[in-house]
Amino acid sequence: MTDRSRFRRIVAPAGPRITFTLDGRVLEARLGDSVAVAMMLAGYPACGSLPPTGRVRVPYCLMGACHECLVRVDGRSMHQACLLPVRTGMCIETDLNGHGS
Amino acid sequence: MRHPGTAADTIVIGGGMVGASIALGLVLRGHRVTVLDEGDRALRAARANFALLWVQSKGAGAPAYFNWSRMAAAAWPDFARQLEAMTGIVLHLSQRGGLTLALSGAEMDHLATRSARIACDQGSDFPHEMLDHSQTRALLPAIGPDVVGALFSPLDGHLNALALFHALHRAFGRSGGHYVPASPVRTITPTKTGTFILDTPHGYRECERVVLAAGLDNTRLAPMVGLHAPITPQRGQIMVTQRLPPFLDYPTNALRQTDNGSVLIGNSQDTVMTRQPVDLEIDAVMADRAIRSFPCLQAASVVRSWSCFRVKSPDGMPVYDHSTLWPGAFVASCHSGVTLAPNHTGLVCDAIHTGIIPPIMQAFSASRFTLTAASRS
Amino acid sequence: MTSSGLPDDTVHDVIIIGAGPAGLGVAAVTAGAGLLTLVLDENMHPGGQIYRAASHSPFPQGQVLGKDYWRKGTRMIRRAYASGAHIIPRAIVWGITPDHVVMARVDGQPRRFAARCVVLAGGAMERPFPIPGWTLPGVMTVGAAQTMLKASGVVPPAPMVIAGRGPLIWLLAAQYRRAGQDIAAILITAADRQWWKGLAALPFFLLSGDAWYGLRLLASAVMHRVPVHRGVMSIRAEGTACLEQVRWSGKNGQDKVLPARTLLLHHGVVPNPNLAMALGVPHVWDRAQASFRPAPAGTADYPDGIVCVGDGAGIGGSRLAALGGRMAGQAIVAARGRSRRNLLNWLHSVSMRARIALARRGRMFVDCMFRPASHFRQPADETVICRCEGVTAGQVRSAAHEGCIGPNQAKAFLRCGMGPCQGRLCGLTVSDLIAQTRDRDPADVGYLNQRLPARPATLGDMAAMPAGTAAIRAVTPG
Repeated sequence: MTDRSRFRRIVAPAGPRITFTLDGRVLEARLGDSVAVAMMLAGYPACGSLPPTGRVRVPYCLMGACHECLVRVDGRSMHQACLLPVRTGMCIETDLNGHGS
Repeated sequence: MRHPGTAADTIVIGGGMVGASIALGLVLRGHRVTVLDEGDRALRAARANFALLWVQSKGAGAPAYFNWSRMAAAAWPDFARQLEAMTGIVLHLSQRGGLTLALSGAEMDHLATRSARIACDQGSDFPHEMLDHSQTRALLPAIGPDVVGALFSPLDGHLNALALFHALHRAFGRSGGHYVPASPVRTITPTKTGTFILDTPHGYRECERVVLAAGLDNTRLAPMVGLHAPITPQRGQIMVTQRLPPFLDYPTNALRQTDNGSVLIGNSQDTVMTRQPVDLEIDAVMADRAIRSFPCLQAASVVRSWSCFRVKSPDGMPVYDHSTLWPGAFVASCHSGVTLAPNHTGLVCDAIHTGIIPPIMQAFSASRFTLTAASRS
Repeated sequence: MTSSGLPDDTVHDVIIIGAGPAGLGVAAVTAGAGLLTLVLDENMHPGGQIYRAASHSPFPQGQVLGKDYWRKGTRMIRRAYASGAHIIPRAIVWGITPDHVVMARVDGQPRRFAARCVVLAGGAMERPFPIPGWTLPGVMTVGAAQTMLKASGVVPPAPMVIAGRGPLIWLLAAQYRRAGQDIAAILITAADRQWWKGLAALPFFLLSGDAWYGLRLLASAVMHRVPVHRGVMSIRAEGTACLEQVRWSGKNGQDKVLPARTLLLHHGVVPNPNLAMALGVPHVWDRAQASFRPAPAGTADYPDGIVCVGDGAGIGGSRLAALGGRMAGQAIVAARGRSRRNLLNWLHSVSMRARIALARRGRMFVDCMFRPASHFRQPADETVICRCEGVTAGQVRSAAHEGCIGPNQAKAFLRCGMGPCQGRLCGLTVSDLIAQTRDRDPADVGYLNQRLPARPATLGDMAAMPAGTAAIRAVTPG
């Protein structure tokens, strides 16, 4: 029984299974997904927090305009997760909980 | 069309850092003040500056300028407190000292020579130190190996200049000042009764006193009231990075970390009046220098870049003058509107109010340019 | 070496930024005429937004996404490759120098590409649709839902509510229906009070090719069993850590609440102006489309060697974008003296011009029908309008009262537009709010000044740019 209260795939993915890490957690993804979609499917959509209120950033436009999905990738900051294809072994860091600052 | 009923006794032309400071000082001295400002897209040094409170580079060979800047720096803490109390806007003033980094022996020598000159000039009290690499590292742990050393002075600091700009405007408005945007002044015509008539796109305005604080436009306006405000416009470009965790405890002249964590990178100087608002090659050189100064910035992202024209006179010192031909007309021109803000709200307004330029300001009269020219002929 | 195998210092005849209908339209023509053509696109695959991933979608050919997507999308991409154009995806362009060197981050690495002329075909973006609570996790755009559907076959959490106004809502609803996905409700916001002004253009719309497509969408909308509420006047997203419910009211003012985990917003699309504005392309306010767009080519101060095409030059839809792209391609080919002048080509060119003119006139109908009611563009005081800096509509109105007559002074006072999105999600709202507060036209109020870099670029990437002696002298002390 599909859990419709989550982000979910409704068609068989084209690419093979790969793993990547998000804030130290090892997660599964499919080659061909963007990092943003991979994070949402894995249940961890939060990309960081925003001063001054500290509100959580999650992808909003998924097309490179809103810049809410900025994450640190393999040590380099300010990558838009929605434009970045997920690759095997990629190390993604948000700035939540002291990660990736 | 005249504007009856809004007769100001003083009109300040220009609503930038200098104009807003002077307008505030005058309205607090009981003048009825109107500020006439340009539109939203005008060239504005006030929105584009580096937000430094800087004395250490001022007035080599010109002790009057050093002293003028030193006086302003000393007045800043009280000035900030008063402005914050009047407006509720926090200025984030930090005045623990500032550094100029040297990335070569030649740069160190230049800094040492210039500082010695300021210190030796009569009447100057210039606390400063030349630091070697490890001494610089003690203050700025993130410096790279290319940094040979630095000039440090405890007089210097930085603040949030946009907050200052906002605060000056808010204080002016709350104190009864009248701000008119989108109202550039085409001409100023002195009358026989001692008043001035200003021609603007929205009609004529008459006033008893007029203060020219229009930045680059002062050069055009000054002769209309028997004044002279020569300006050599100098373009400066700035980049700002994403917000970063705090790592810079002191500002440098070319790189500082703001109160919200972003890093400002600047201090370019060119005189090309290019159509391009941002020259990517200049950004490239500044980026390279920033990385050599602080290698951790290599991976930091620039989120914006902009440029503006510094309102610089031929010798870099301010121009303050009261017209002898048409008393009541004043000009105020400088490229350090942030550092000098307390003086502009203070002594400069006293001078405008009384019509008497005090000795400390007399070195800034534009007659110094014509005298030099005359002595050459 | 570029991935096309050419050395890095190659000077391309034309570099096109954006591989959507317009960009690929230019490319097919210029490459087909033998000009060295490079297309740079920020997405993982060519196709732009409308035909996103048409060559790589996980859906089996022909399923769910609609006939237009499968037929036109794949054909367009195939044609572009067949013409000999080099297409580099995952290229984020952040700067262009006055002599047309394009700076980009490609697969995370800094790259430079030289060109004789540059075509800006970066397309459109969603019109900002700020509502109270729109920053809650769970609120996204209709465009975002389409992106994840087309490229990855992913749907967001149910219950889903779609809200706004515009044909894309019906397209998404049709796609979800075909995919067997339930929508809890569709909230159609009230029309602009002057929607009827578009009726004069209805005959042209019917004659243009778009009408048939529009009718098909409308038909599929009628076939819905989804509850549709029209005349919606206000919408709020509510929840603590994420979206839990959508509160809305219609013309009678009564609040209704819908439990929801996903709210998809859409109020039409507008040109994505940042790169064009930063390059100095003059812009004008388009009254019918309520957005800024590039001035026509040939306007005074238009920078040399820059051409704007497609939705980024004024919203017209994919059909008009493709036509306009091909026309621009032909103009570039002609300027190089490479056109083959014959009767057939002349007739073809005349026919294209006529179709473009017809499509533009017909577009007025769509623009007026689907323009959002103005109070959505000037939201209530409490609404955050600058997501990056947390600035509210009320703060912008106060600044306008304090004397800010334009968005740049407001930016200086409030920081709206200073975040990483560089005003893409707040620019129009700031201009609209100042216009409303000061009772002026947005044309007079203007837009946030844009500057390069048009996207965040690392200091390392910027330092890697070559710099001449003048620039070095400008920065080095002494």
